[in-house]
Amino acid sequence: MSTDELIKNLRGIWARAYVRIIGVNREPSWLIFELFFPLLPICAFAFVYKSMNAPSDYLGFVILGGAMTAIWMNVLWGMAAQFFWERESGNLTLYMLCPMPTMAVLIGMAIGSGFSTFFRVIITFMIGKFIFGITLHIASYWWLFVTFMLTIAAVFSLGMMMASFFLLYGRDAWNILTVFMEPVFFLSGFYFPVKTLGYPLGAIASLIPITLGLDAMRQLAFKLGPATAFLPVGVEITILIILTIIYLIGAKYLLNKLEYLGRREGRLTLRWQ
Amino acid sequence: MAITATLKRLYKIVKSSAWLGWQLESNWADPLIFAIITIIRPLAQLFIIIFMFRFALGPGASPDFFNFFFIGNVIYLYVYNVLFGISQVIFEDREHYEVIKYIYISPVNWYLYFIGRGFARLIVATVSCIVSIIAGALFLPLKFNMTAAAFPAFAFSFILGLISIFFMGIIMCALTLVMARHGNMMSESISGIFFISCGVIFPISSLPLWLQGVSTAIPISGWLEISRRLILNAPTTIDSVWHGVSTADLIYRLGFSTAVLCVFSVIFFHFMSMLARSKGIIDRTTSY
Amino acid sequence: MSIAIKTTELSRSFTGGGEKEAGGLFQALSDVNIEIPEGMIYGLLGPNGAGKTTLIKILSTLLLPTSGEAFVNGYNVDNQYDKIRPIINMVSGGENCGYGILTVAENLWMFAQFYGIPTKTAMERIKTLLEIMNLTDKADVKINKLSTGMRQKMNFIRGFVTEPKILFLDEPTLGLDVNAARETRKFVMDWVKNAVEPKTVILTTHYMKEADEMCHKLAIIDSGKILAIDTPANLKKQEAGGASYNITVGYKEFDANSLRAIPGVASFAHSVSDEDAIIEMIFNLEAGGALAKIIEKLSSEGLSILNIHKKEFSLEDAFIKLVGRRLNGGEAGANEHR
Ligand SMILES: Nc1ncnc2c1ncn2[C@@H]1O[C@H](COP(=O)(O)OP(=O)(O)OP(=O)(O)O)[C@@H](O)[C@H]1O
Ligand SMILES: [Mg+2]
Repeated sequence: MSTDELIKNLRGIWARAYVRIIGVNREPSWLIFELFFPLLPICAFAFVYKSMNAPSDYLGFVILGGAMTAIWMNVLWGMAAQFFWERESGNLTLYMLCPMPTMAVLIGMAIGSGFSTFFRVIITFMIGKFIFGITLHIASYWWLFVTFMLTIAAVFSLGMMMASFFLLYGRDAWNILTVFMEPVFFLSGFYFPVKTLGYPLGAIASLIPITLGLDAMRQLAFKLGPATAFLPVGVEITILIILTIIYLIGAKYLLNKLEYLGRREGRLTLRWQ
Repeated sequence: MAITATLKRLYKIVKSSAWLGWQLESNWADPLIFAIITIIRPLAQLFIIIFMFRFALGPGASPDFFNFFFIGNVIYLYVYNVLFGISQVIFEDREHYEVIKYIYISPVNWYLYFIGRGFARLIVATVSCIVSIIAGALFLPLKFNMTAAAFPAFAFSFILGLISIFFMGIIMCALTLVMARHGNMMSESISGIFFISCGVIFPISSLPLWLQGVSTAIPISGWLEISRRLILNAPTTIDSVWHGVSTADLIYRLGFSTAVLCVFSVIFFHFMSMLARSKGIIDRTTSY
Repeated sequence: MSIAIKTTELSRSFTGGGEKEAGGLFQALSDVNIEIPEGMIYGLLGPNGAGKTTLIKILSTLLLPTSGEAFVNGYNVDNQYDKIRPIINMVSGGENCGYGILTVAENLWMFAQFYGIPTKTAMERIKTLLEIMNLTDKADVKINKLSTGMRQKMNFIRGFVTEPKILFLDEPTLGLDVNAARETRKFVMDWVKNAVEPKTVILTTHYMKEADEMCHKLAIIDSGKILAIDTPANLKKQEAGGASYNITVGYKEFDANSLRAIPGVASFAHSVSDEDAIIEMIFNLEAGGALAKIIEKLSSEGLSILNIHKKEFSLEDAFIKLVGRRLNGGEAGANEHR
């Protein structure tokens, strides 16, 4: 890729990310819901632990997990289902038509979402921490930050892959979202350490990068974290990096396939299948 | 003569509205998707809680906790499905099917249409409920022993509970009429709020004091407590806020609050639909 | 002059979808051969389902042909689409684009970015185009607040912002009011005429007037086949044969056969109006037939000519003759007086 082309692609990425970022700011009510929404199960589940007189770090686990659900919700609604919306609104055709690789559009979408999610997770966590009076015990700020960023990167790479995958094999955005909400909340250990699931199930759950990211972050942020660890932090970070790379390659592959099939079958530019 | 004609006409409206509602609602009547909604989702939710208990309590936990949260969770399937289902009607019709304007201008009666759609949700909830009970029987130390004598009271409170959430759904629909895309977020949030405050999976007595007052005022809380007492055949449960209130009292209260909800929701819906029409946002869609 | 678009034996079939034909395949385009030189507006005219959009989709790299070849600016649409995309753009009428949450200007900017146009240049072009399309006052309005026609105008501008070398317009004036449609047509014609580097426009439309007025060349297409390609003027001429005249004369006995026998007259018909004491005569001439001979003959018969009216042949006549039916439904000649 020449520098000229690179600059052009960066323009496309920025333009698509801009839409995402500006979109959120334009509808502040949306922001309230995105902050408020994860707080509900957080509170419900924190009270469950409270009613059992569990240690306050357990409440902290739930609050961190609950805050991270924003990432997953964003990946589902904003990434996985996105191509459905785009097709319906006629934009997908235009994306295919333009000289910009569609991958740039997809990356822009992920960056835009990732950026706004980043702050939302932190804010939600801080609110929860305040409500339930949790004390943190941070082993390393630096590694906590790195793990958090890596988790976002890995999960959004998965989201990029899902976008093409669901348009190729899925039926309807609506139904997809329903399948991947609660079961993932369960498997990824959003509300309890994934170790509780046992190793075989935990290993499967690790394919969803949020599982390991969350486990590593709990280890880095809470006193009781290391006691409930699934894998050592170093291993989890390595796996996260590998997953990011695999999912990015997968996203590129599926997108090429999507574009090719779209041109051959002439289906993708149809609004209703 | 005139009466039979009116009745006939009314019957026709009921039938066609309910039919239309059912058609839209069972639009996804694909077995796979039906399974996802009725089985996978509620089971995942159930397992989240089971594993939380396992993690926090270890193996030797008291069965009272499990029975308490299990009954709450199962009844809440009805609350969630019917409330969420009804409150999403407007949102889905507007944003997803983009049919709202056509329904709005058609002669179908809104309430009958809602009932038709609510009914489909009731079936979904019942299937989920059965699945959850099977899973519960396999994995949890449940000890249900409802007496035959308690059954009429249980059924009566159950119907009252359903009616009250139906009207709550209508209130939310009315709000969705004037809200943008987050209409569906709103109904999710509200069922989330009820999930916290109605003592579904943990006793209301663990909530902060100021919240307990609000919680006990929501009809769903009383409904859950009635069901628990009758199913477990116990005068009280581990939730100490209800100690000192008799089951009969709880049923009267539920009846009264249902009546209030009914009147309020009808007025409110009418008002909001006028507002939506005057603002010209009946068929507004949002996308970005 | 170089060639902007060339297709050879281009065909496209769909499985399922349209009416099933042999083997469940539906032939949307069959053996299309066209050659479009640079710098012209080329029209595709045909009834619904003729295959116009399909052809445009293939040329704009959105759809692969099932057989045959298509070249845009010399590049094969099959595999050189990365060379084609930067120099083309497309606008389909009646379609939305962009995000409701963004303003008109922002949406246009975003699409320009996907073509790698620097922000400054993009904003300048957007400003100019908004002015031309009378949309300047809506530049900062979110597009979910626009009317259908305004959205259509924005979509139209989106096609021009990237200054494509080749532009596909699929029913671009759909949904526009009469004035806006006229402005749009004028804009497209000026854009092609005043371009520094040659611009090519491929246009589909259902409006005969639009095709007649705008296109330098027209292809008439039906059921996936090209039926005729020519300039609008030639199409009209060719299909109509010679000219045709309506002549009104004062009432008087006359011999119809002698009129029919005038050299160059292909056919003759008349009707008598007793009330006004006039005779309406219709002469259809052979190609090259002359009006002078008719007037001579009528005067020699002592008929006083009150009015002569040359009947113009429209593109629609040509279309009906080729396709066998009107563009907007109805049987050929159903309300034709000939
Ligand atoms: N993706 C598809 N799958 C199946 N059939 C298709 C598909 N796209 C187009 N067709 C069929 O191909 C034929 C030509 O369609 P096309 O859209 O090219 O027509 P058109 O000339 O643009 O018509 P209109 O004037 O209505 O826009 C139609 O019969 C249509 O049903
Ligand atoms: Mg078309």
